[in-house]
Amino acid sequence: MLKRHPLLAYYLRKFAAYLFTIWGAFTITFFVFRMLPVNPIDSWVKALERQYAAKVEGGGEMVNYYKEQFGLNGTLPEQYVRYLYNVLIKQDLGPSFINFPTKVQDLIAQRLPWTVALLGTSVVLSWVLGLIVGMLAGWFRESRISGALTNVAISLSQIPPYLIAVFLVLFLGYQLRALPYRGAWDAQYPIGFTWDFIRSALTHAILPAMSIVLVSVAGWILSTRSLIITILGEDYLTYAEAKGLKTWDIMRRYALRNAMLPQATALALTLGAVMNGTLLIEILFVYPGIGELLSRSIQLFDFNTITGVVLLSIVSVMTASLLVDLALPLIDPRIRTSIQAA
Amino acid sequence: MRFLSSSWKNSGKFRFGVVTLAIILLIAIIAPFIYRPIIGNVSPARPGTFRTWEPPSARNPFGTDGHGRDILTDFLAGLQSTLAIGFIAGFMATSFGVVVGFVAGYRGGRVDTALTTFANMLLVIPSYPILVGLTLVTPQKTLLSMAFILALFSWPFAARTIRAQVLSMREQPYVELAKVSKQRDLAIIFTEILPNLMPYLLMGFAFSTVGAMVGEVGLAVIGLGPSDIITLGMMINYAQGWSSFTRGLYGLLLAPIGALILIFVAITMINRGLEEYLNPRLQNVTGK
Amino acid sequence: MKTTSTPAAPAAPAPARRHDGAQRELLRISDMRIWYTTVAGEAKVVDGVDVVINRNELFGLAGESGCGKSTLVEGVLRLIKTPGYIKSGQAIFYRTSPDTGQEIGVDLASISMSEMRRLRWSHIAYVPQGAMNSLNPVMRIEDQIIDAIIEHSKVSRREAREKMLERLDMVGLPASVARMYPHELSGGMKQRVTIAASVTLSPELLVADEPTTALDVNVQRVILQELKDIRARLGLTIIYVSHDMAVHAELADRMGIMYAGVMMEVGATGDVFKDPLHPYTQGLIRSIPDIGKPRVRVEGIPGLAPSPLNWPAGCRFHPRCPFAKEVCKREEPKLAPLDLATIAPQAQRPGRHAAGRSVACHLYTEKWNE
Repeated sequence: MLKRHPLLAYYLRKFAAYLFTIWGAFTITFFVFRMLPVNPIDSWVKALERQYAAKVEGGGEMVNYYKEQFGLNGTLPEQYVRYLYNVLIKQDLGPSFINFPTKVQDLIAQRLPWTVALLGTSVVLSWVLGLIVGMLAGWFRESRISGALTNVAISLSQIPPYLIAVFLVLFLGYQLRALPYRGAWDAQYPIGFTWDFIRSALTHAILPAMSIVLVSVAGWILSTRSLIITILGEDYLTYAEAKGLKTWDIMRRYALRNAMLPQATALALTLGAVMNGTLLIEILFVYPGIGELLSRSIQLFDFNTITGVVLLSIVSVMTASLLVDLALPLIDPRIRTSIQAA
Repeated sequence: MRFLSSSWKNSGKFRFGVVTLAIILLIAIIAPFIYRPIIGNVSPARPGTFRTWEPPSARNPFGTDGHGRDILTDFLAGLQSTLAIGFIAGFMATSFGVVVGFVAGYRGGRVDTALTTFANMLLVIPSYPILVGLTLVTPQKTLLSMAFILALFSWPFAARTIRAQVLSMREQPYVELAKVSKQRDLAIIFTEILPNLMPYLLMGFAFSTVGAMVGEVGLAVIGLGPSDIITLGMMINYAQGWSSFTRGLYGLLLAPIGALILIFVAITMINRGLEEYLNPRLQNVTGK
Repeated sequence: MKTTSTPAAPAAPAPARRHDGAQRELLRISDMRIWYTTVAGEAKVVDGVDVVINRNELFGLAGESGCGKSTLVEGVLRLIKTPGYIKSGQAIFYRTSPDTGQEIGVDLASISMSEMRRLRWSHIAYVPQGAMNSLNPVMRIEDQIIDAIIEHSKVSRREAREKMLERLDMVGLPASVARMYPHELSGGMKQRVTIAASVTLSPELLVADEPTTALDVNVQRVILQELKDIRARLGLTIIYVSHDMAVHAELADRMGIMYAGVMMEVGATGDVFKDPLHPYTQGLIRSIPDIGKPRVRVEGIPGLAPSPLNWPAGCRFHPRCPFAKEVCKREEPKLAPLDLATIAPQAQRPGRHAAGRSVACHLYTEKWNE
């Protein structure tokens, strides 16, 4: 049956690879962390011992109890199976260590909106700006401005966002006190749809967003420019000119539309990976998002939280990639034809 | 190697990148000659050589930091360390990645699928948290161990690039010709394929090196740098924590950031120059 | 997007009406030079071409690959991009003003790009060489045709669509083609789409650049037939560029043979084929196999085509010409109307008529006897 429906076979293949890769990545992460010669309970006990200069006695039972609570009892394979069972069947990521007994999934749910809002907006904004400027830079590639802009973009795109972040924090935040650089909103305003809260949330988001946008937009400008230059060499551009269409129309409907497909694909993939590169930004700006949660849980070896967040990140990246793979045949008729012909 | 001279001749970007990188490397190499006169015979990372938080003076052109170290020495030693970590990690990642990518591309079939899936799994895992976790538990954070950890997550990129190139090259007529002429596989690899891979190898190496340096700085900035040496990332960490700005010691922050930016930009320009060689349409158009 | 940069053109007003025997001129190209700036120097791809295209004729522009014929028409249509540019020359296009019916001449080589844009498609249309790649892959056929119609005329989208369907029918394509994407069509169908598109606004001039080169002979025949039909129905003037002499034999009323960037011979097709004047043309005609006649050895033209970076001195064909003399190596012959009185003995032929024929060869001037 599969031979008769190549498109269906393609979808199934992609989905199977998706599941398999997620499983593999998750398993690697799980074992890497749990095989480290530390665990949260023991290190917490040691920290307490240090703090109070005392030895814990009779702690055996309590330690075991807590280990069981966190799913750290038994052999590693037992832990693994138990964890998988919890996640897949009971949809429970376990209790977190840093905020015991709050469940990991609740903790994530609290913080996810901030991360998504900040990063999602930054990425989309960079994409839109980058596409427009990149198209102009590619179209007018012979002008000096375009050349200078390209070099600036190359330089900007290579600077890690946190370097810019550090710079912004110290100059605009600390030295000039122009913009806030800590937290996501002013604590004096309760969360809600009040103008005060919204305004403070926006001003707090400016510096972190700028760190991300300045670097991302450079990347999009460069990729769009390269794409447009390639498209400019195509015959259908010359033909569009021969038809006497206005320059702006040619840019929009002939050049940009052909660049859109790869760039939209790239955007989807970037959005999927949005949780990856921003750990440091959130740490630097003490932004209450997923990244900051992850950093604290790493320092305390809170395996459950770490695994939960990493799992979320893996699934997010893979899902974006899968959606792109599934959508491509629907959007680009050429791809659909080649799949059916294969 | 023709591509090197061709890129040099044709690409301003390439020349800029090579020259800038060469200058930086030169500074890193002659660094001891600059800081030995200042700090004498002790290790550059040793605290207490001077008084803390001294403003810039004739003896300490950039002042001293919170541990009593000369900031200029911090910078030079940090430059050496960061570059070393970057190149070593880059080399490890590229070597491993090239071998994997090559085998995957050349052999194809099940071997290819298995290797690619494995590489994809590694790519999907957010590398930074794992790096942080691994560094936290490594008791002795030496330069080499850090480089190794950083290389662990960089190799899939090189593998991917090489694999794609090998795949497209495998179909090329000159490879088919070599196969038909009954040359042994290994011979084909060395004489036909490898020379054409060189530009991509170099680009992959450059990417891995930059990636490793970014990773090292990223770890050091939150305090997870190597133990007994200074790196540029650690300087940035110190600068943040010790409010060096209020003390007017801008060098502690600006020098490493500036150097890092220059290094990244230089390597990127080199990469772009190579890219232009490989895809001539991206070159600047001549004529009126 | 910058295309051709124009030279400082003389702003002399073009005459309103010209006569050339019994026919009216549509396009007069004078001393057209189109050069390319390369790292190796200036490539003089088109280097002094004079030719006149008359109304309602099908003019065949012939010549081997690299002679500059495609560049010539692209340049006149202002589609040349850096590093190519129009070095000098004029291309006066006599368009009929819709209001007064008067003929106004505009120099295509020197008008602004926005004026050129206004002339495009409604007055001068273009059928490109590789239709495979000339259609936008992410737009439906109908959208690509309609956008040009709407751009140049004040019709509604519905009217534009009807016009397009009518033209598709004219080239023998079913209406279902309109909603398709380019990759769903065969090469021949795509070429017919571009032909249909080009005539949607009934332009005065249609320039077709090797439209059938990439297609197999059967499709080629069909397309040529369709071109003839369209021309008969709409009364267009067509410039047809091709290296294939057989096609010209079938289609063209008049022909121009180019070599090494200049025009070597111009005349009615029948004259050119039965009585080629220029030694190069003779070589071309001789190299066409004659199917159905007794088999003879097909001869090519000895030597290699020269490079536009370094055209031969004097007559550009002299290195390969069996008749070359000293004067040919020194002086470049100008394209001039044939004068029966000054033909060299070895080139004479009885019963030859000179009307409408020009040639650039010393054999046909007094210089032969110097």
